[in-house]
Amino acid sequence: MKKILIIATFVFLPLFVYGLRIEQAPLLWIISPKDGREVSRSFEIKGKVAYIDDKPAFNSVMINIAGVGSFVVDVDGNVWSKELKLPYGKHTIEVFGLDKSNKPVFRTSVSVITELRMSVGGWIFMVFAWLSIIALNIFTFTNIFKIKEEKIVEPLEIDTMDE
Amino acid sequence: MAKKRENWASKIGVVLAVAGSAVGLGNFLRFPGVAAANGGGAFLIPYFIAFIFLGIPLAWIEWTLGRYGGQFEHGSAPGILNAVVRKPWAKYLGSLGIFGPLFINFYYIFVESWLLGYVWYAISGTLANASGAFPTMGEFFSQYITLQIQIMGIPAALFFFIITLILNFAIVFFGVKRGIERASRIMMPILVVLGLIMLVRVLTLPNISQGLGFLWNPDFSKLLDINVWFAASGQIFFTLSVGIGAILTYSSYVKKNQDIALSSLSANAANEFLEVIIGGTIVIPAAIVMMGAGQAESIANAGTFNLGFITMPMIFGMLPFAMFFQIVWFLLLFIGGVTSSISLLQPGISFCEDELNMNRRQSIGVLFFVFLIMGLFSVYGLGAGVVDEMDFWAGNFSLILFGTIMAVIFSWVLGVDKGWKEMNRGGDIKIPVIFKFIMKYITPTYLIVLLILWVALSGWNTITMKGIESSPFKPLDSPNITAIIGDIKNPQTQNAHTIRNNVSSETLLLIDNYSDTVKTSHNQQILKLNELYTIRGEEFITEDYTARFMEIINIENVPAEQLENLEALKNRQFRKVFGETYRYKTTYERTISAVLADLSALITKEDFYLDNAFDKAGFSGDTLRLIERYKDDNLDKADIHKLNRFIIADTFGENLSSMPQAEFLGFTVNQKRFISFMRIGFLILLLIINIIIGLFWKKNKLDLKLQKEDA
Repeated sequence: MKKILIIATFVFLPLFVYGLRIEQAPLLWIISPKDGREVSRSFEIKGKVAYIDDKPAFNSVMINIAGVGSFVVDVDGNVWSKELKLPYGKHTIEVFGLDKSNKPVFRTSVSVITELRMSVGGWIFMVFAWLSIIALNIFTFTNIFKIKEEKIVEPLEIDTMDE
Repeated sequence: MAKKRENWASKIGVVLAVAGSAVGLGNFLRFPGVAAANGGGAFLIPYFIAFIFLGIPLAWIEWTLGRYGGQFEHGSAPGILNAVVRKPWAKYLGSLGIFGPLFINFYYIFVESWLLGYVWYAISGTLANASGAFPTMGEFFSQYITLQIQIMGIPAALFFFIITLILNFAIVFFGVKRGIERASRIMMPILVVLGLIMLVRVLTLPNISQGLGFLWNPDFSKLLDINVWFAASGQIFFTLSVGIGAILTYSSYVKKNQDIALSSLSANAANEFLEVIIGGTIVIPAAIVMMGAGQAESIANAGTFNLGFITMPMIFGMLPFAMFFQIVWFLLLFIGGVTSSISLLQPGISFCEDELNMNRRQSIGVLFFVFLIMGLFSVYGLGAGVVDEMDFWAGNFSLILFGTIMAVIFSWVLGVDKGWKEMNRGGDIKIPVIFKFIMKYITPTYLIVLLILWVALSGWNTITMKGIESSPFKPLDSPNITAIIGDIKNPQTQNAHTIRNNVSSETLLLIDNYSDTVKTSHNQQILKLNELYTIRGEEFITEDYTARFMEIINIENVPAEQLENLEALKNRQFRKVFGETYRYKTTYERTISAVLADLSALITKEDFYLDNAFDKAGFSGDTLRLIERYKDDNLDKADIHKLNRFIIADTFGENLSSMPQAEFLGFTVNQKRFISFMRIGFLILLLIINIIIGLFWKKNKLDLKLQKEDA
């Protein structure tokens, strides 16, 4: 049992540490407004610039998400907004190109689905937790039943001696 | 003390009994909600840290103290602590170990009885019919707990409470070996099998990884939040049943040289299996798969009772073999509840038998009477906050305090060296030496910090009843709601005018269309509904009823999907009240609920006072004092909400109460005053327990005996 625990520790500890380093899976999918096909899986802000499909969206953009809020990324890459958290579901994102006086010069919109799925980190945490608990249960209950058998023998010997 | 105390018949018996004590509603309903709201997978980091440094050591401590006390023929906390500390005052500290389990059980058996009731309604098919929609399921639950659903001419909640109470006492009547141990040996395997059935069912749902993702995807930013660490420690504390006094009593029946080290660890392991693996997989993942990821946040934050009694029956209602899974689910929870509640009964019985020299029949008789009275107090006082108060003082405060006391006594009064020796006597495993250090320094410090944090983060506000005046308006707060509707419709004062300007357009439409005809139509519809109730007898929810419900909604031309799009529903307070009162079906009732919801939404507006011009002449002294403090920038959020509530209440005079009202035994009472009286009552009961302890100790000259033994 000790060996199993040592092996388990050495196998799962690195996985557990690895799990700590894994970020949450990308949750945004961008769907083409024309045919509904997925056109991008990454809509995110890297550093201070908004990226759609891994390319800087515009030098200066205002992004509005219906029902959630809006933020602006200026020419210097500063993001002018609070953190936005999209609820799970389908969202329409409007992207405005802004000129220096903050007037919209063009506009486009995309549909976004925030999808809930199990990330690698999630799997690692779940497997680690399950296996730790199962291992603890196997260790404790095998011992309980094992010791019970041994203890049945001991008193019998003493009784026999008394007789 | 001459009578021989019982012992457990087997080691597996005591392990299953203690595991049964720990496994309860918290494993299946509380854990997944707390984990999902506090970082998902990342929550497991503070959770396991608390398990190792708090849960496991404290369980070992409690087992050790209990077995030690049992050698001196004591099975309840006063006797055990007295035997350990060997000072007369210690027995009074032990009164918390009687108070806690008694008061938790006063309401726990009532809640447990809901599960039995739901098993019955699942078998009869009523639940399958009701679980078609949130409003019907919510209404069923609401009517069940407010004693409106009848069975054999008495309220169903009362009927099942009495049955559950008798069942619990029937088990403990047969004693530790033939009652509790035998019941645990039967019920715990059944519990595991039922849990595994549910686990397999949920894991085979399509897209289950979505649901698992919501629960397990780690959000590491949450680890920087002190509340998350506090929540994890609290969950470990409650789930392992430590600090209550139940383990203390159970382990007092363990033989002197019988192992406790492995037994305690085994019970904890079994509890974790049922909590993390089974409990963590069923509720939240199933709810998200069946109801959609968009509902994830609201499901996770729905609260234990909503999850268990409204969301889950609905989810199982959507599956094939709905009735079967509803029965399995509620049976699973009911068995978990029974194994816990019998463990909470035993400290009281042991106190009567070991300290008061009663025989089993007498102690069962006395306690059954006490439980019947206090249980009925819970049954009839649920709406007035009786259960919440008992849960707060016994299920939270007393638990953490008594756990801290035991840890300090073990490590610093008995002495960790002596305690360690006692703990390892007869041990089937050798506890790692590091735990000696953990028990001496880390666990007591952890507990003291937890106690302080608990008081600072949540306890103090509840103790001082802070925020109670900022709670939303309920129908009970308004003895004459039609007068308020009239005031808003035709405002006669400046303040009423201001309120009208702040009411949402949807509600204003209802108010402006309000007339006597609306009330007449309401009365007619109520008559129709009553006819329906009469036809259906005690069967509450049926397909006919659901159809009728939908028909009424359509008659009123307010379909449910339209309601969900209302602008006002974005306000959380509004949603809460509206959700609670949505079950009202007629325009009259909907107008009332909309008015109350709108007024409640105004309470939460931070700048309500600043944004409007009010005539102060109509304000009471309390309101004016709050305004003065507001000017000095001396009000926190709860105070601002209180001010808003006072302003609104002052506007409508005696037609709207500034202080929240509650119903108790058919009377409307001031909730704050009622809670104050209840607390005085609890204190008196604690005092009575201490007087009984003092008197019987004196009568049996136990302190003198102790002195002689020491000499």
